[in-house]
Amino acid sequence: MSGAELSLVISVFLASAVEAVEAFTIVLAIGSTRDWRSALLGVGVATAILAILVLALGPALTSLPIGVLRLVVGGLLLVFGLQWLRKAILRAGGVLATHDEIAAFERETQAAEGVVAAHGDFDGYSFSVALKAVLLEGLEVAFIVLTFGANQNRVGLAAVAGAVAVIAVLAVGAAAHAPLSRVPENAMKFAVGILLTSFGAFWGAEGAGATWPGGDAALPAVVLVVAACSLLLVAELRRARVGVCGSPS
Amino acid sequence: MRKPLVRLGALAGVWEFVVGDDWQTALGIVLALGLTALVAAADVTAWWVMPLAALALLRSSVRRRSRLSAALRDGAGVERKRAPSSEL
Repeated sequence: MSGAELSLVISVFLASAVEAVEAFTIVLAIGSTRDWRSALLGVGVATAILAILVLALGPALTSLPIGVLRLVVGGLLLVFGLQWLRKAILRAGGVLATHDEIAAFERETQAAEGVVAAHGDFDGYSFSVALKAVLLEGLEVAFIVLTFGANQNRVGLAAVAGAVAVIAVLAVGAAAHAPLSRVPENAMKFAVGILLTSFGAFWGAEGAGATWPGGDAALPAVVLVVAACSLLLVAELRRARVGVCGSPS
Repeated sequence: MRKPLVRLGALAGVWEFVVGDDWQTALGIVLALGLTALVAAADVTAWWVMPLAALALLRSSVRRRSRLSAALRDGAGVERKRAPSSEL
């Protein structure tokens, strides 16, 4: 496996695992409070929609000329990666609260209990909440699978990495039968943000006509620079917060 | 009448999904890609433009959100009402 393929697998695996943990919390809350069968049906329909999306758009994207593909995908990855990275930096810097799976589980459980119980076998509420959760969280993963995979002509490999992550989360979740609150979601989001931003800048520049010194060998250097600057931003935010909290009012 | 509304809704959904709450960063990326293309077309080394732009955009985006957060915190705890829902 080449370095680029390894980066693809790591990025897609981490992104899929983070999103799967979030979707799992919601489905677990709905299923255990209301109706497992309807919730799982929602999960199945959402998964089918996502699979169709990847199957339909994958070949279309890979048929684009490589220059255009890199320009478009690079730009999109940058927009997306900077959003992930900003959120992770703000959380690590203490500006935003970190994502709490137990709190999310309690929120979803309370909301589910507040809705009138279903009559008959099918619970529309469980179905629609599970469908929406998996579809929304899964769309981000599908986007990463498509962009990363298409750019290296390895959509299949990216899809497998995503599927393995989801299966791993489901296996651990089913064994624990509780929200996966100990998964270091922010650290994983931080890593994915760094990778998406670095690949976005790298491919975007290539697509726009730039040539990297050393070719693909320049990519690890870009990753290191983006990671170092992100950590500096976290340190800067923490310092500013200590300054504010420590200053006399 | 219904079709244009559906299309508009779909476009809004795509915008929300891709651009999110930070259009300045998205615009900055488009401008940086354009600048890279111009510099490369002029036969000048252009690889440095994108990483530099990405880091500058990240810094300004983090600072903007951090300032907004501080302002909301000072404004009697109205953060939950006004902060982008994606970040709560």
